[in-house]
Amino acid sequence: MTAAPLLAIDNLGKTFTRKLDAAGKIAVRVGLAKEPQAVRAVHDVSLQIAQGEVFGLVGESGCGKSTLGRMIAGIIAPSTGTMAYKGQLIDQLSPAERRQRRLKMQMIFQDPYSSLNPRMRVKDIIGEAAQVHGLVQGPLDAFVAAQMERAGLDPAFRRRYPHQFSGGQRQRIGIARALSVGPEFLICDEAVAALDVSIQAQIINLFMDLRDELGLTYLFISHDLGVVEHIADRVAIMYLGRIVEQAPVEEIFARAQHPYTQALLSEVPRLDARKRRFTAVKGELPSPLHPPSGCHFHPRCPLAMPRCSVERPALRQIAPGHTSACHLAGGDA
Amino acid sequence: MTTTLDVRELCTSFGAVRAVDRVSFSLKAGEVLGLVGESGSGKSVTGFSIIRLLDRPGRISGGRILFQGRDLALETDEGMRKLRGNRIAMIFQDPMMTLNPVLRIDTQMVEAVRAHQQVSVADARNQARDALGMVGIPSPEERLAAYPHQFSGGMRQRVAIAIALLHNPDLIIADEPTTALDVTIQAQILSEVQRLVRERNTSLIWITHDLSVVAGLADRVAVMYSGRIVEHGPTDPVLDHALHPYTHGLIGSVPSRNRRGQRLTQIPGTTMSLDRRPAGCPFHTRCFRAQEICRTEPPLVSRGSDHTALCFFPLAGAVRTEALQ
Repeated sequence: MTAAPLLAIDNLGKTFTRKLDAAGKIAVRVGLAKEPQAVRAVHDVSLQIAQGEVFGLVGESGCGKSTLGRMIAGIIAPSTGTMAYKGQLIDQLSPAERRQRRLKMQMIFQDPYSSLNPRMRVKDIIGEAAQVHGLVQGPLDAFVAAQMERAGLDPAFRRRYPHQFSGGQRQRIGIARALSVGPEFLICDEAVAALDVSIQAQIINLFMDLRDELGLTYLFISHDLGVVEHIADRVAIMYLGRIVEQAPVEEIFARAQHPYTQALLSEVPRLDARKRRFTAVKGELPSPLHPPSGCHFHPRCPLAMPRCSVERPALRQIAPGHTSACHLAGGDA
Repeated sequence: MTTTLDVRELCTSFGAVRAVDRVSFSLKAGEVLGLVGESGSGKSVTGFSIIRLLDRPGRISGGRILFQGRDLALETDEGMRKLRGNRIAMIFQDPMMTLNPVLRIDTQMVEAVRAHQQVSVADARNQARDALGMVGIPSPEERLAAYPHQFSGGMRQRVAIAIALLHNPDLIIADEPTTALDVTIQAQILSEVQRLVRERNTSLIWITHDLSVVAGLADRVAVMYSGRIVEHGPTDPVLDHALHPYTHGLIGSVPSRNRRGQRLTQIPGTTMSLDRRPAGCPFHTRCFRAQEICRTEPPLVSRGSDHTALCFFPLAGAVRTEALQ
């Protein structure tokens, strides 16, 4: 990766605060109520994604992986930090440029039931965005048919409504819609999580074919390590708003350093692990309203030391391309 | 080992649609059966049929469900009520199907204890507390006074499991209880269930779409497709040398380490809706080995004494069982 990354984000963060109404603001002003609590959903995340790469973002529910994906897609604005696409800072773009840039990044959502407008025909779902942006050359019907075929759908169904399709086919509609505007970068937020195994395999294969065909770059957000291992080139593991480990996929599955990554890896059920004894990390994800001090993982960590509850470990390089945020990493513990 | 459950040729219909079609399997005491299938395969309806919780118009239209020698298909509603929660328990995918959102945990658990045992409220409460402790809920005494919404998803599922275990049942039917949970929480639940089942010699039917979970948990596996068990046998031979092309395809669909970056095996098409089920082998429209004969009823084939499949063209050295009989 000597070339400039396609996407570079630097110290990106997002804090959600409850919006107060007028009465609430007055109450805070005169000291009758406290400031509303803030949730730091994403905290100082920096990462770089190269052209043509599949970057896997893994974490459990509530770790901030979807929030990060949505910030990258431009759906929600970050609270802190910067994002650069092809070396250009997003903040410095004009609104028109930003609109163009946003077209190049499309998102595919988890739930193929709620991400499609039930009252629109498939041809409108797929054709609308491209038409609005003036990307359709020739008749719209032929354009939609070509998009559908590329996503593995029969163009004869283009006058149907979403409810007339199965879950896997709906996900294909979502993919066709995303691809219709000619994106370079796809953000897949749990895009195969809601599908049956055999359908999931079809969609994963489709993603891999499209990557070869169109030279796409992916941010693949998932809780399923098996899927990420199969499709990703590099992986970042998130825990409670922070990236705790990042490495090439072979490296992370062979030599995971962070205890959280190790726990995740050992707990993924596998076809080849028969009649095994499930051992589990203790406890649950703490509330992001009151994150633990120091290393966020220390209350559940089997290797926690006194230092872990006081000092937050920084992400450090422990091997080429492999960073980890743990006091035990790098031998100076 | 004694046989706890013996299901023979079970059929469950919703009007004219047969959701479960001639399903047979048996389960010994302490055995774990993984019932695997995709959505709409009839795996959950099989579970609901055994515990007789079918919603109308669903009804058992044929076959027998012998639980410790009694046929549950013929049991009266009153008789089932005495068995349910007592000798047979069920754990659902969504624990809120078990829990009443407006009652405290202790109210619900005491009621569940006293439904089948004549004990004082104080004794019942103690039993409830012990059950919560057993499934790994910290400070169970205080948590008894909480409402379900005060628990996280994983903790709620533990409460549901604690309720299922209250009367030390002989059979537990678990319908995708970890599907909605995170990986680390799923591992915690699996480890608790595994330990409790082993300690108490309880039989367990684990209904899931996830072959990898079954690989780690089950003694035997039954694979369902379109209402039928298409393959059945001990876990190792079924997963290592699948006989049925559907099982073979399912295993190939699971992303795994050794085939990184390669294309996954793909089963073409989608599951048929049950009212348009093709004649003969229900899988023949998607099967790569299908021939004309597959439009007729497939034979039962087997390899070894215990590993069977319903197929004309099974994959690895199986013989027709009918020829042996």
